[in-house]
Amino acid sequence: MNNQFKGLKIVLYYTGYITLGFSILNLLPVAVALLYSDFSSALDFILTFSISAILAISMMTYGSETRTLKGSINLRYGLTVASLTWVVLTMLAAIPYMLSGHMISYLDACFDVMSGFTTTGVFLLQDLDHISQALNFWRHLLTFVGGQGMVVLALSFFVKEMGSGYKFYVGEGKDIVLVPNVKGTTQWIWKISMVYLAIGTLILWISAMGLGLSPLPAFFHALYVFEAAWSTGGFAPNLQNIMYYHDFGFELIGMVFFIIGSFNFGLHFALIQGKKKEFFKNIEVISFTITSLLGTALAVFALKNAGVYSDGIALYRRVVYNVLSAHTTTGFGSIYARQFALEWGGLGITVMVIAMLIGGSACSTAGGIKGLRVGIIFKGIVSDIKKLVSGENSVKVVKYHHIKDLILDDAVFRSSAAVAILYLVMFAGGVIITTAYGYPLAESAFEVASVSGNVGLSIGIISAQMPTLMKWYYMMAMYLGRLEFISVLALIGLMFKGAKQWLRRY
Amino acid sequence: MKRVLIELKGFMIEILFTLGLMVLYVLVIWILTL
Repeated sequence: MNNQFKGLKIVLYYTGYITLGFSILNLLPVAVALLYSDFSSALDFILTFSISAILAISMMTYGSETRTLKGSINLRYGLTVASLTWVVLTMLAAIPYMLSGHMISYLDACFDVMSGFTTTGVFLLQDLDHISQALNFWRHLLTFVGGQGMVVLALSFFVKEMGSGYKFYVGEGKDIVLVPNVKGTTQWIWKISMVYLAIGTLILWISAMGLGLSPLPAFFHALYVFEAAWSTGGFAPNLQNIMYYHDFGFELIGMVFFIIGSFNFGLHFALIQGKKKEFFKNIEVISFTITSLLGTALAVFALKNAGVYSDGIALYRRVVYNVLSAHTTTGFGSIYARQFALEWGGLGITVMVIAMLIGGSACSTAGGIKGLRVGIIFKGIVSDIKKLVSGENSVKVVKYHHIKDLILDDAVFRSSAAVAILYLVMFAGGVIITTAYGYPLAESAFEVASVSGNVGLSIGIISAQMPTLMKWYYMMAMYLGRLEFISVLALIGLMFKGAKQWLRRY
Repeated sequence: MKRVLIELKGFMIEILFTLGLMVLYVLVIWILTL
């Protein structure tokens, strides 16, 4: 292969491949639009399909020499493909948003798509209650696909063309190997999601019909709520979010699926393989159980004492629900945004911020620092304290259980701590920017934790009228939070290297 | 067929475990509202 622009060709070739797969997804909302005889929306998606397919084929043609490598590529290119794909697809998926007439600017459209892809759930879309069924379908499809990972989806189909598959999907924050081959792993991820999609949509469909919705709208509501719950996305087809249904049973069903959705795909796989004990031994489940119980206890204590919610049912529906929605990084809200600011008080907001920053499990659809890292950091610190107190000179092996028994060495601790620190730096940067624009500290911390952890709950700051710099920063926080920094840093590194080479040449 | 049933059982077990976890939060409220 010609060495000139080799890296660029490799990256564009594989990004084109994934973009081509994505373009086909546009045909699903076309079918929904035609079902509702909504030809205007159908045209929006046909146009997006055409633009995406042409761009994808152009990228693949430019990098066609990559085929000679037969899928054997360097890890940094794999990471770069993953991060670049998310940018390209965000820009393309924003086209139907823009054409719908419900967005004020293209930046707002990209913000909403990034929020969907990263399973965050905040939005700048105008008049959500009156958007077309096709666009609503598109919003939830993006969040569902984003939850599993676009690269993971592409690998399920194009694995022959993308031989170094692991190097691609590790860039999406899913460093998991369920079975020895890449295709098997990615297909298992989709198989698990599709089985839950069938189970969850069916249960929610029956429940929605029980609430009085006729079968077809009930089906779409069920599908959307499931997709948003499973992907820990938090989108809902109506402005009132989960409050629209006004039903405890419906909320509970959604809650079951967003908790399961926040668990590691490795855990799902182990349970499906009959390893029941994994649920009780896994460090992430233990970490989630402890932190969620502590969080709910503190929030219930604070809000009960403040007299905001008096009875047990209200505490479960309004407090436990929102704390778990925050902790699993879902973002379904069972109270209005401003109620957090006006009723929850300092302790309530602090619990929510911490829960959002911790987030769900690694290799799941959830965001945040992740339970695995929190568990490792906690265990590492406890072991260091024990060593100091006992004054032992001998080296003691510390282990943790995550699918199998693993050794907690310095490298594991360091990589977990590094990602956690990067999250906190990103969070601090966002709080500085938001407070600089005059927003109160507690509200700024809430909103920035929500976007950094890919949660989607809002306290009322995020709106189409907020400053442009904040829109850009929040988008970047969602993107970095979802891809867990490394692949984005690889993309930036490669861009700088390419620019340096280009400047030297000319 | 047998494998499909085992896998479906796995999905059901995960749902049941999650429901069990959700009961723990009821206990939290119960203890704090006593």
